[in-house]
Amino acid sequence: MKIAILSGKGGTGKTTLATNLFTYLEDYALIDTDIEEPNSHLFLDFTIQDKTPVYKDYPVVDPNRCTLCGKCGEHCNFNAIIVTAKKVIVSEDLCHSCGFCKAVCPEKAITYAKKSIGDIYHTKTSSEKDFSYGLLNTGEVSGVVLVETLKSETFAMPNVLIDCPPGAACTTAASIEGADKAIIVSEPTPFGVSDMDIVVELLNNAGIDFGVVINKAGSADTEIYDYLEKNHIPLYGEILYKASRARHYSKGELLIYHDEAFKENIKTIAAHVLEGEHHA
Amino acid sequence: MGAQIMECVPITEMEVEIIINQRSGNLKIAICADSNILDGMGSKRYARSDYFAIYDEKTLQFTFIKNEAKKESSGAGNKATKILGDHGVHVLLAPKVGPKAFDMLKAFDIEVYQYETPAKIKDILDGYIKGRFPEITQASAQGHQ
Repeated sequence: MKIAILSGKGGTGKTTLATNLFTYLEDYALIDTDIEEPNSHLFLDFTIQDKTPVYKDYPVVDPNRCTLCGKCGEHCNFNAIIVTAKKVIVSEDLCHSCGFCKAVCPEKAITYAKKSIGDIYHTKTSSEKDFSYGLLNTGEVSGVVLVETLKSETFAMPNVLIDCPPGAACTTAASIEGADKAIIVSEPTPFGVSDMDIVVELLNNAGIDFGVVINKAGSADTEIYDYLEKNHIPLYGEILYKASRARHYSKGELLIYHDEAFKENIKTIAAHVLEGEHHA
Repeated sequence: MGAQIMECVPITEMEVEIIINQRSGNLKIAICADSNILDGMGSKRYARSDYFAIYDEKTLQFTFIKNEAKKESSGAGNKATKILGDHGVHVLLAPKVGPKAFDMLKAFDIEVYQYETPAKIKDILDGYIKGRFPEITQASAQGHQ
């Protein structure tokens, strides 16, 4: 099964859940698709097996063929290609490789070249499990290709946990694509609920079955519980807020090794997520 | 904002004409603007300002255009510069410009001069014509994204 872990709001505990669940489940691989700022690797003990660059396509204009008609620039949704009276200027880092400029060029003056946008790291943990993550180069506008490559290189494995990026932008949409199930990690705050609502819509549109884990539980704010009840969303588990947990986290330690109550939480969540599956 | 009270010499068409004749200028000068009125303030930003005030030395008139680049999620500097280039602008007066916008302005042969905020549109034009503003020859350290 492919299980996506996402949140909407950042800082709710995606990585805490992903890395601990990964450690608890024996036959699962973990990929961190938060390619702008991956952090799962901070909590795991691993050796890098392989580092591979990922490339994106960007347009190159042949000045001998170009008539400066301007069609490529008019059709670029990202302002990555600008036509002046004398030449065509391409901002490679703004390009999303959509191919529109090449398609509309009447002179067939546009070809595509490749540019490295980041790297994928495939690793083995100290217990011989597969963990991979991607890192987008600073200044690149879109890491979708990186997420897609990371997934295509790991989805052959039967069981994968996906530590998704926060928000509900393109890289998150690319991260959940093909997932069998999703866990939303939220928190009992107005922001937690408001941002969760956006990823609930995303998952519903994608037709992915999901439940919610409430992290940092124990506050007087009940809005999140009302929201789940009203929308008939299953609660997979609640993790209480404790200062000791924040301290372990800040040291890069896995809570499952230090906190029995937390370990019980992980067991409960795993049982909910894997309900109906034969393994665990 | 606007606490600074300047000795403001209003620019009448006549005064401007005299200055321009001395300069024998023939330029279109764009100013980043917060609103579409001459009495309004110059913007603190270039590509994401609300309007551009374009002064034409030939007609001695201002035209305000809405900055369509403002709402772009990326490449606002590229688009804003393309808009100015298409309007035949020769000189941009801006508080600062990012690195991409700077490269694009060069590609369109648009010179950039730096004004300090807060300042009114008409005072910014006045300051430029009197040669008070330094030319921007380098982008501000970071893109403002």
